[in-house]
Order: sequence, then C-alpha cells, then structure tokens
Amino acid sequence: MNVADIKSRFWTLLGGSPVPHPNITDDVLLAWANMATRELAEETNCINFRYSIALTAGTQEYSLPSTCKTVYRAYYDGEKLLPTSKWDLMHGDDSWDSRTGAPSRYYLDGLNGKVGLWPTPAADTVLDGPSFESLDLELYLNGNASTLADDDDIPSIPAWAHPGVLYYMMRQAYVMIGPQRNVRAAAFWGELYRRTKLRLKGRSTKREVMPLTIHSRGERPGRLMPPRYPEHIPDPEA
Amino acid sequence: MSDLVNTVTSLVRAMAPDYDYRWSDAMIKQMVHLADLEIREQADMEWAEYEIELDPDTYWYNLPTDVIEVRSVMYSRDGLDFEDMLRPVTIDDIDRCHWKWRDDTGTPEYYSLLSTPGIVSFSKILIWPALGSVSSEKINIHYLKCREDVSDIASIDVPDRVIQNVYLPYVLGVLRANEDPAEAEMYMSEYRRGLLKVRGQYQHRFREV
Repeated sequence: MNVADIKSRFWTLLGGSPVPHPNITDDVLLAWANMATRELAEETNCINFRYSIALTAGTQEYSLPSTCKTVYRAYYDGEKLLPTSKWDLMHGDDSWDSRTGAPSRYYLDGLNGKVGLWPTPAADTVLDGPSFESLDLELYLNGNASTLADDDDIPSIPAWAHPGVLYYMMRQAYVMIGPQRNVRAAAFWGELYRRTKLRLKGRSTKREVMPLTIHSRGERPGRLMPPRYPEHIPDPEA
Repeated sequence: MSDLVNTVTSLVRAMAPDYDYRWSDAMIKQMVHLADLEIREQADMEWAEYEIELDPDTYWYNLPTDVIEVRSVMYSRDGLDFEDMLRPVTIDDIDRCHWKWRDDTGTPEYYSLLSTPGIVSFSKILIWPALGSVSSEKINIHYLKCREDVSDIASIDVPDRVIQNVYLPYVLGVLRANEDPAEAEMYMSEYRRGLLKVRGQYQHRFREV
C-alpha cells in the first residue's frame, strides 16, 4: 500500500471526505503517516542496511547517512572491525588519534553522526570505476524509516504491516480535538495499532535465526567475554 | 471454498441490511484486504516460491516485497532441480567461520537475511559463499506470502469456515468501530477466537520452533 491507498482507506473509515473534517488536511495525514512509520521502524528494529564508505588516508572520522540509527557491524577491506569507544581509546593510548595503519576498531560519535576508525587509515580506498576495489569501509546499520513525502511513497515497513499506519492515523483522528473526537473509538484503533507493532517486533527480532554456535554462560551481558579467537590472526603465507 | 470478496460482501450486507447506502462494495473490499493482510500473517495461509538467478561474486540479493517469512532456501546447480537446502545462519556465524568471508567463493551453503522481509529496497538475502563463476545456478525461496494490493484479492477462493471465523468478524469490527466501539471490540474478540481455530487448520502441528 502506498500513501494514497492508506489515505483512501482513512477517509473511507472516518466517513466521507476532507470536507466535513477541515482540520484534517493532507499535510496532517502525511505527518501522521510519518509518525507511525517512524515509530514502527524505531521500536521494532525492522530496518537494517549496508553502507560503504570510500576512505581517505589520514582521515579518521566519516559521516554516517541521515537514516542511520546505529552501526552494529563494520568491515575494513573485508575484515571485521571491533567496536570500541573514544573514551577507551583515549585511556589506552595518549596519542591514539595520531596512530595510522590498517584500522582494527571503530567507534561512534552519535552526536555528530560520525563513525571513527582506529588507527587512522594510512591509505585511500582503491576504486574500480564507480565501485570499491579494496580498502573500503563497509558498515551494517540499523536504520530509521524513509520519510514519506508523496502519494506514491511506500512506508518502510513490511507490506503486511502497512495497515498499522492506517490504524495509527485513525487513532490520531479520534483523539484530535474537533467534532470527530471519540476517545473510545481512538482506544479501539490504538489497540489494533499496538497489536500490529507487537507482531512486527516479533518478526523483526527473530529474523536472524538461531546461531549455530553454542554460547557460554560467560558471554552473558554484564560479564567479561573471553575472546573466542585472537583479535588478529596473521596470514602464514604473508 | 467460496469467492472471498463476494462472500464477505454478501454476509456483511445480511448482517446490516440498512447500511447499503453507507458501505459501498468498494469500501467492503478495502476492509477485506485489511483483514487479509493480517490473517495471512497470523494464520500462515499461503506459501509461495520465488526463484533468483545467481550472479558471479554476488552474495546479496533483493527479496520480493510480498514476503512475510522465509521458510527455506534451495539451491540448484542446473537451474532445474533444487536438491540442496541452504542452511540459515547469522552473519555473526559467518564471521566466526571465516575472518574474510566476503572474499570467499564456492558452492553456496548458507543464507542469512538483512532487514525484516517485505520492506521495499531494504529486505535482502545473503547467499554464502558467492559463486565465482556462473552457468545457470539458481536459488528457490519458499516463503509465507501476503497479498500486497487490493486487486490481488479479486477472485480468490477461501474455505467457508475461514471466511466465517475470521474474515467476517474482522470486517464487521472495522466497519462498526466508529459508531459503536464496544460492538467492534466484540467482533474483534470473535475474530481472535476464530484465528485460533483457523491457525490449527493451516499451521503444521510439528512446526519447528
């Protein structure tokens, strides 16, 4: 369902057209649709995507896309980077920001929307035409929903959960101050929305199937995790 | 088995004979579609297959947008016989298997997913290892399907007991919500009870956890 389909169903359910509801304009409907999609995507963590960055020698921090909520995995030249924080780097090494080489760790500067690498890359990403050949940074991001702007736009949630956007809009319409206000109807639509959100949450958190590896008790959050492998395994043929 | 939209429309009309002027056929069809999206997701009603031709050195592929859940992925060397089942893994697992897994090529053995299936331009499937060279290799995805558009539910047959137990109460619930939310809630309770019966019909008793 695109935005036009959702709006059509909204007016069908609310009764009539925008004429008897002059306060519920197209802009208001679009704002509600965006609020619903944003909340559904944020609370269910349903959006993940990959993002590649071309690195420049000597540049430590790089901007993240505006739709990025957080970074949960990073690779430099195909090798996994370990997450860390600026705080840990500062305490581990006084001249942490002047080290250069092949990055082995990444940190996030969420306030400024940046990801940082340590050590600072010593070489530029090698390009093969428009694509990356090697020495690139590949990030796996948890994302926010794309903003809906036109009637043709499709909410960034699974198709089966699109009615959730409609239910949210119906709830908003009935709690809005005006002649259509009906708190009991708002509660009904709010419940349908809540149930859709719960189902989407369930499907989103189980999308990564059970890992094949068996985790030890020591890996539980809050306890130190013994490393499964050394941080870096040198290539014997190098 | 009866035609879904026509049967629900006539049953709704029978329940509310004086509402013809308020509930048009098109309006009821839209509500049947809302019900259908939810029921297919909740009751595992319809399974479908989707084939993807594999490309060399490519390990991410787009999933179709009508996917609710990926059930299994089969691999075929000749593009005809899908004999090998790929094993589901997390990317963490692949990281543990191979430090530089992105550079690996070979016969695909595993799959993983990115984003919840069904999101336009975000939902992808990872096939690993990627093929180094390709002749006619394919994968076949077996998945739980929804019908995205209202036109997709035209002329489909559904068992009568499913229409009676879940479609009808859901549609009456959303149609009556504005006038009488308490009555609408009664219909939704009926729908949820009906869903338990319908699930028993569609879901396998020994379904994997």
